[in-house]
Amino acid sequence: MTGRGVVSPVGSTVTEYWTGLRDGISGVRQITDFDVSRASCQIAGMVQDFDPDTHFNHREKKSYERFTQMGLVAATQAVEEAEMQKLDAGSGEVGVLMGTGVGGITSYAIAYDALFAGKVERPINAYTIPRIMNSALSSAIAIRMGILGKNITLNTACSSGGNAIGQAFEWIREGSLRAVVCGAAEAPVTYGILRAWDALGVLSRKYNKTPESACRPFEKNRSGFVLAEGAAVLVLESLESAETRNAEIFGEIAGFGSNCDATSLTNPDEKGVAKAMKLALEDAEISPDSIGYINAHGTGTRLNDPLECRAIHRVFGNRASSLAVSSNKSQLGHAMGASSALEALATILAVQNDCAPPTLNCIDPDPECDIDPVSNYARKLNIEAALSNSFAFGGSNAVLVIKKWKP
Amino acid sequence: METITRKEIEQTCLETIAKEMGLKSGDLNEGMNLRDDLDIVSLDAMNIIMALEDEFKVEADIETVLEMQQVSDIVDHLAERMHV
Repeated sequence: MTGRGVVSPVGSTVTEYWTGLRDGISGVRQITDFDVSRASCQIAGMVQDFDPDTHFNHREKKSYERFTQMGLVAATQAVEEAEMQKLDAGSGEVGVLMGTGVGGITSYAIAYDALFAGKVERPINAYTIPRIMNSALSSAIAIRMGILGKNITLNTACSSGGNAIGQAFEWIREGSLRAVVCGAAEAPVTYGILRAWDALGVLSRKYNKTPESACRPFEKNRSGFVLAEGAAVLVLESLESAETRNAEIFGEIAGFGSNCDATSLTNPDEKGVAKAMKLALEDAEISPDSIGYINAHGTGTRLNDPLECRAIHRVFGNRASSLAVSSNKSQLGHAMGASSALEALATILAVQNDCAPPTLNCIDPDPECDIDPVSNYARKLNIEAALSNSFAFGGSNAVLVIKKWKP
Repeated sequence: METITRKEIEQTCLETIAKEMGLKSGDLNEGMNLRDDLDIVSLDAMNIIMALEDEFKVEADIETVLEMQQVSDIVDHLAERMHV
């Protein structure tokens, strides 16, 4: 891994992002972009001070929906850090693989308003389709960087980012590409999506006045998650490529476990989740004892958290009770398809810095969640390798093993 | 109904193009080439013509519009449609 980029509710550079997570900053705020007075949950993890004028010309602003804009900004950071110009993007040996859950959902909403509610000044904007399409971000990255290799967009709901990074890792390992720009972006905070998630009963409704307290993974009083937006992008390349060009290496993707519960569209399955962790460890050819930290899926819902902890016990045995396991969703909210990319980046930074970021708001841990949730304060500890867990509606699980890079 | 002049159609065209393309209407003139001078691609042209159709309550011929070269071609087409 030679490049990293991020746009998030707690910061939009890698340094700000890590500092924000480590210091327990919350990015959850009141939603002010539209009227939420009739919504039960009125808060979300929102990116602050994202000014498209700083990053895009007029045509790009027209063409790119918010998820594409945020993803492209993160990708630009990653590519600049990786000094992509030395990677010969035009060779066909460099590719792009991005994830997203709902893509250009804002443009859908605007188009439907235009058609059915007459809320816009004239008929459907001609840029609606290119703004909506899920592949817009992958294409925009290739266009901006001149990347001529494989260009694929992947959607496995909330594990999209984890699967995108894992699949990119496999492309490189099998030798079909030398480097891949990969990750995910999401901008799902629209009134329709907010109400739709609320209808599932999984959004936190009790903390509209204190948004930073809303998401409480592994806590007795947890009441669900909040939506969020953001993007995280990595540049992965083969070790040979990175060493040949003397690139700085920030960490190693060492294993990838991807599977499907095949049980329910909405409920996770303990066996399937545990299997994904085992697959990742086997792929990395390391024992569970080598894992010093788990970056959890940790949604803060009644269902997910104890199930994830039981699955961790299936894989790690008695050691699970004292294993450091934290959830960035307590600070960021749940950025759906992008959450797993944001959390993979957090895991990389945790390994790099030998520091587990905290689970915010975990004041009274649930005894049914028998792990060490790293409550409220980051903790220094030696992390040679870590897991990044992501699970999704539909049962698509993606687990990454991230190892400290040692030359 | 008040009679509209070709000059008024031209002014509205320039303002609509400027808005769509993020330009100042005062910097535009009807002799400009749509692609070379104004960087208008087909999607921009669609948005511009839809806005003008709305404004003037006329229906343009989309295929004709997409073949146009200069701002004046749009003005002429709309003027013809409105019998100006």
